[in-house]
Amino acid sequence: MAIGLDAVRYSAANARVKGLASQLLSDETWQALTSAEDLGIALSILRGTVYADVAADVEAGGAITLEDLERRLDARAAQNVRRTMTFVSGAQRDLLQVWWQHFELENLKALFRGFDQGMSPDAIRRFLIPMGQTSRLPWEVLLHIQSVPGLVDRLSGTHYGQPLRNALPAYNRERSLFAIEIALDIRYYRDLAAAINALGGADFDDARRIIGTRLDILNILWAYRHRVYYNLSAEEIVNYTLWHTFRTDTNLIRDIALGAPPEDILERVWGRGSVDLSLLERATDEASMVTNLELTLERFWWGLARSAMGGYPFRLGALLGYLVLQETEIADLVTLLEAKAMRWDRERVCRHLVRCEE
Amino acid sequence: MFVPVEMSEVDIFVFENDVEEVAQAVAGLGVMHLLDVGSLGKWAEGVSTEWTGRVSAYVTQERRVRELLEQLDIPEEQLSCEGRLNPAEDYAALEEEIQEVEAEVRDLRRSEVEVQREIEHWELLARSMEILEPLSVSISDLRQLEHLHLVAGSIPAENLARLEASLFRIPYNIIPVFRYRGRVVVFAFCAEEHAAILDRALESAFLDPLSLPQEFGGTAQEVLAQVTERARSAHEEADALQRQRQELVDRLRPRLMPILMRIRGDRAIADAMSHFGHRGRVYLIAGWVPKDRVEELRQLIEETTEGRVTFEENPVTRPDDRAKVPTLLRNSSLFRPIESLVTTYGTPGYREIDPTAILGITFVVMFGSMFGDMGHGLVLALIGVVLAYHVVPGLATMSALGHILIACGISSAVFGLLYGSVFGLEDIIPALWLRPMNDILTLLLASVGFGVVVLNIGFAARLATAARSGRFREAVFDKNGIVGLLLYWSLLGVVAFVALGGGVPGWLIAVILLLAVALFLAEPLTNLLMRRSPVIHGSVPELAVQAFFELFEALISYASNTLSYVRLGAFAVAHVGLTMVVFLLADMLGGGLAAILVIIVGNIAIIGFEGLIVGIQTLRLEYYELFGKFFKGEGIPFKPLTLPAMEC
Repeated sequence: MAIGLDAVRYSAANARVKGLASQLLSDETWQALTSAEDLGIALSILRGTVYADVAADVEAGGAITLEDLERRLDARAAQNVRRTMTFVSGAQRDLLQVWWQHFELENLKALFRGFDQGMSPDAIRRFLIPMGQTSRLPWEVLLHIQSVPGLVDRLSGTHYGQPLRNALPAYNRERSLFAIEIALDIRYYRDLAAAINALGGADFDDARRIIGTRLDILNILWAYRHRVYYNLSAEEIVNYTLWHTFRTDTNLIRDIALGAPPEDILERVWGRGSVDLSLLERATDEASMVTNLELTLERFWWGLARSAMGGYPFRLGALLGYLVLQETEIADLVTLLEAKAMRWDRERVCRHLVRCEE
Repeated sequence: MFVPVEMSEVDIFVFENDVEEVAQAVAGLGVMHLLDVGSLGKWAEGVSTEWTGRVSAYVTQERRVRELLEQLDIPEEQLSCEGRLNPAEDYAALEEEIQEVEAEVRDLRRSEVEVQREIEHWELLARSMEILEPLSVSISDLRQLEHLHLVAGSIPAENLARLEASLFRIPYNIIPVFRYRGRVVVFAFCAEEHAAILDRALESAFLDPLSLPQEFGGTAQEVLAQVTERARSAHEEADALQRQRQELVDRLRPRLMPILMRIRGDRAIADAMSHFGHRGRVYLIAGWVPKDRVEELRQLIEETTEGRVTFEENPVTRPDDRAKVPTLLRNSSLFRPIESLVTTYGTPGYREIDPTAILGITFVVMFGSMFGDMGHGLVLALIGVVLAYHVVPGLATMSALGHILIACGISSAVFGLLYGSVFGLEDIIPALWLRPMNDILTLLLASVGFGVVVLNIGFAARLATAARSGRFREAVFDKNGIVGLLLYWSLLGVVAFVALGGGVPGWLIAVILLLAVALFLAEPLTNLLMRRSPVIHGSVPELAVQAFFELFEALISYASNTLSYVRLGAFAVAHVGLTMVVFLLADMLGGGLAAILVIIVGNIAIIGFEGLIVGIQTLRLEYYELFGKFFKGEGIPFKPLTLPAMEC
């Protein structure tokens, strides 16, 4: 009965998602792109895809930089999330709305970084993802505030206000945006977890498996990054990660903080053999371990999304799977074009791409 | 009054050097509805994005200035701006001014936030000292503990549990003292050797330390006195900042409003410029202008350009002119408030009849007849006066509704006189016509009679619209056209003959049959009349079935449209019934204060709820029974290029 109801609820959404998913790059195109000798050839391949307009702009006399390109592709991803929001309603729509806000979050961080470095509004604008009329924040007005405390003050009426107020004293003391960015992230991902928990039945299971896994992955990655890159103490690592996600908790984070190897952690979280650990085995030091762990987990997540797309179609999972695939594709595409601009060969590029058979 | 204002299409060709001046002149006069760029043909090729970019730049500036006004709590007001607008060059100067003001406001705001923070800090300290007060311990001693590390401060309340979970490597003690605006003040202790671990953990839990200046000493009680003193001086500083804010507001108000006015003016001109076509150095400004204002516009443009202009006026010749002609309604002040009821349904097409006056008269009469009560009517009219003449400033936007209420109230009062009813009391004044409860049949027949008159007006308006749009022949065999009207009259004739007790004459039956056949064959006959081919679309049986149902639907709709007006009388009767219920309830209470209260509340309810229901029913009769006959409402409203409410 429930399956029948889901089929009715998601039949229209599924048809539209299938339409959008058909625009994702095929395996053949992706193979050709990774094997392209240089940027010119990669762009000529892209001309035959849904990214033709972007390719044409890059080719048009270098008027568009790779940063601009990244921004435009992110805008496209944000627009696609908005589009899929119209396919569903209620708590499902709320979840997508919160998911969409990660683009807003990226923009806020760009504003803080720009103000912290004393950049002009025009210079910062280049780093903002165009949000159009969909964002409730007045970006053009925010751009002209030009100070970190001023921006915190201006955002006091929004749901970012409280975490920013908490982190501002640390910024004022140390002149580092670390606390502010962490506070924003923790707030955002808590909201995301709450949006997942507001779902019921099969929708909850799907959201937990795809978006919930993203929270687990981020929590693990943050803990390792804090330990390896920032050399934080165990107490700081616990405080600067999420209190608990769907599969991680304080005990797990404490163990990471105290030096647990990633293989053990991944096995504890997802079970033996669930995650391909081959990349981790190649790590030569702690820093390369973190890099490889990131790619390992991104690939694991991508695989989950792909299987959700290929499973029973009339579920929220298919829609979420599509969103993950398209955002991963865009992130990979930016990496690939940057790499091809430096004439990297396939093998070298593949080491940095989520979607690539090495 | 019954048709929209006649328009001319005006093309103004000017040189590049004059175009901004001309745009300003056109906007200043406010009589030209610009053509969409897509309608400019080859001239549209020259439209650049440069002006669109300027529009968005001015929009951003406007938002920033409005944000400043909001921060300073300055209400917006209309002002005149000095000097001519120069949208191509004003931007830079305006930007400089805005940045200057933003910097001033930013400095003030920063100081305010800092002082507010300071006040909060001292207040938290004071409350902490109040807690330590009974211990009679010297604060300096607490600072210099040899083996114990003590930290006091506030953390977000939601972080407390996680902070405790994070401190798994050392023995510690955290005492939450009190909660304050989502934060909790804590005293945290650990052994001196673990101080670094505790400090880093507290910091990562977003601790805001409650630090005491070194000069603060003595017992908690003594420190409390010092802290209270600091809090008082922080409050004084806040008061000083408040005065500074007021000075800033007084100084910036006369500066910000003209900036805002200029930005809006420049934006309007830039927006207009983005609609102009150009080829080479010649610009085309094209749009619709009320015919009676064209000469005024021509003179103004010639003066502005000193004759360097080609001004072409093209009358509207065909219904499918190169762009849809906008509609400007020009009704007398008596009917102007009613325009909002028409545009709620739709804007009349340029070649349609403007139904404002028809609606104005029939709406008021129908409302009055359904809500006929002298007392209630006068109350409604009084409410209307309050709304229409801005007696309550907060309700200024409801002026049009106020005028409608005045008219409806007076109409109700007049019908109250005719029905002899005052606040539901039927025995105070004589009925000049009839009492609804006593003469229901006459009232219902009169209602239907009124409906017949209104529907005939609808038929006439349909024919007038058809004639205006050059489609009169198409209306001949229409169910709401000539044949429809004749059939309707013939059917009324049948009803009249039957009602008068006589037989229906044979010639009338023959006429009805003839008209019914004409309506049955409406499509082929219209095609023949219009010389269209093929005369019949599809097969004959299909046409016959479709024509039969259309004829049937037409006959049903004549009957239902007419009988719908029975509700005029029915509601008049219901009104009397409702007021009777109120008085019955009052009687049951046996008089006294309670009965008076029931009568007052009952009358208020009748005026409010029944008034609303009657209003909705009247609108329903207008929209469905009358407008359905002739009015499509698919026009586009005339929106001339104007400058914001100011003089530049």
